[in-house]
Amino acid sequence: MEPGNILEVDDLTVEFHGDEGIAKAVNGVSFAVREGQSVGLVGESGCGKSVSAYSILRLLADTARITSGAIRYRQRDGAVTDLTTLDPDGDHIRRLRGADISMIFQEPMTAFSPVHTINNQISELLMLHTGIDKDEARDRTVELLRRTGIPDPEQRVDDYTFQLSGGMRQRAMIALGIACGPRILIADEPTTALDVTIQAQVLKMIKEMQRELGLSLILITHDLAVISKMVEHVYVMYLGKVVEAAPVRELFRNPRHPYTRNLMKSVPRMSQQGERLHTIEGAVPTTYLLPTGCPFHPRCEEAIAGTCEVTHPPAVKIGEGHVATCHNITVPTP
Amino acid sequence: MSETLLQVRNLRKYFPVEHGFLRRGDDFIRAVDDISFDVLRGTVLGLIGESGCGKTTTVKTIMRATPPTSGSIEYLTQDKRKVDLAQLTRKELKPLRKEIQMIFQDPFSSLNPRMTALDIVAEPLKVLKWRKPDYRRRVEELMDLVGLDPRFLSRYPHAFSGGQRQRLGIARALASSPSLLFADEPVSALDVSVQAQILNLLLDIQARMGLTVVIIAHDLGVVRYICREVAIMYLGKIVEQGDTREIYTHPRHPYTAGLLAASPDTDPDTPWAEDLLSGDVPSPIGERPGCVFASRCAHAEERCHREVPELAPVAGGDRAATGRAVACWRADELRLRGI
Repeated sequence: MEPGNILEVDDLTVEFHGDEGIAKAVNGVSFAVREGQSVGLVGESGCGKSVSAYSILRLLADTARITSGAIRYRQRDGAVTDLTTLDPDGDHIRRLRGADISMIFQEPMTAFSPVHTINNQISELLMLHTGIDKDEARDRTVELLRRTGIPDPEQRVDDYTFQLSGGMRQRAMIALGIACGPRILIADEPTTALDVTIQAQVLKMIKEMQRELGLSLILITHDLAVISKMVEHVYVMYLGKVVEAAPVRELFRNPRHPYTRNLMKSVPRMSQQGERLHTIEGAVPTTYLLPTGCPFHPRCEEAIAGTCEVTHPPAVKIGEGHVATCHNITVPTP
Repeated sequence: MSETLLQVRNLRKYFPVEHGFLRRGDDFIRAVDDISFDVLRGTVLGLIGESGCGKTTTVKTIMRATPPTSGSIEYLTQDKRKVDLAQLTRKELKPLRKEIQMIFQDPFSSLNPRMTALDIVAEPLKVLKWRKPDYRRRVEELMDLVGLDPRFLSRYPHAFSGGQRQRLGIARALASSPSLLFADEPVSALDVSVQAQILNLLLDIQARMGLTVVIIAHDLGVVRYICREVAIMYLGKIVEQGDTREIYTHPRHPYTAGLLAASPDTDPDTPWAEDLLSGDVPSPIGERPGCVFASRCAHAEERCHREVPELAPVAGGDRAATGRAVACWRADELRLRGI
């Protein structure tokens, strides 16, 4: 492992075996997270961003198989574990879930149990991982709710999650996520279900929390605007592959992969009116039948016939930390 | 200047809150609470607001999917009669249904999975008693118009992608040649790259057919792109209304300014989420003495909690000329930041 990295996903491939065949949801994805760094995985539906994240915690469905690659995690004692080798129901991964790596989900209504109070659910985790007693766990839960900005936490702690608004529920979810002092927080579309003013509050809170606790953050979203405000390093994904990766400023100033460029141009801007939006023709193909060569070539305006549909493009290094996989990119040799 | 196609005045829609089965109806959810606006023929109006602000109920009430509690909805029919949709009976409404159509948010649940594309798009025509050779030709035209291959007519919805399904929904809405089209979050369930295709399609069709469109959206970028005019709703009321560019650059209502501040652009270097609104939208149940927004407003004074501000032309502006109106006691003194 590179020094300073806390997590490395290396050439990960995940397949789903279903009635319709085999879907390669993640097809050779690599990314790394430094300690305390915020990283974003961005892409449209079917690009494999969520499956990549679920693989880290080994929370995949029974039909999924990790067929190749490694997920290296540097533990607190410095030892490196390959998470793909662990038993998904075993002791080792269960000790890491919540305590070392935790996850917040898109829909807090379904992620929480509706028949237990918030106190029940957060205290349970605290007692399990830290061995404190019930009263102490309750006090800690109240404190966590206060930190995530829930008003009257002493009262709210005994509420059921359906008694909270969407924004408050997501705050409670984050309280649960940080309860055991994890080192990595994975947030899977944490604000997609929320209204824009509430989304801004919650995202701002996640950012503050990340900074205060020195967390490494992996943010998964389809929203380029959210990514541009939230993370330091971005991985743009398409059909199970990372097509471009760069520090956030570099990516938005100098996007090089045709998919990244077109995706950015197809977002309606707050400051423009009247001009036609740029579109990407067609739709994302199904992962059951992946295109040959570059996964983006059937929709790419710049595809080179005879090349792009034949061979997968190499990763081209464009600058410091900036890589894109495209046949069309040539970098002048220094 | 073009004529007024739709004139909504003092529209209210209250839903009774049921407390158990003996005591009922002593409280109301004021989903739409005294709103008025005009839609000119051939324009696109955007209704913006967060969940629970009443934008969908407004549209449903205008379409008479649910009867209004009070108010008038004056509509100019295709044979140039002025009718009040709020007063018409079901029977009187029926011939007008073909003139007012709707596109739904979710292209998955709004199409019947057991019907072919042909049957889905032809449904409004069958209701109008069109015969098969005629409606088949019309559906082929419509498929072409929305950019779908007419060879797909015998396919079922599951064989189409999300964007293609939304195109089918648009074709169905256009089948009966409506003059007024409502679109409830037409692109929010779609991927970004597909969203752009559908927005361009809507704009093209609108321009080509001279359609009048009312679009509901929560994404301010989408609204900016597609609507010349917007109305911003909060808790059942319109708080600000007018030219989209004017409103985005110079918001006059604190809620508008809060929405703009909360919406991120795609630039890592511009400030974001600085003047954030605090708290949540309060419950829409019961009567509020003052401004609906007072509980979250950083600029609220004592008067704002006491008296309801009317939606009035902004100072120095002529509502008839600019359409710009705002419901805020302090609109003239506040200097709010736009984008």
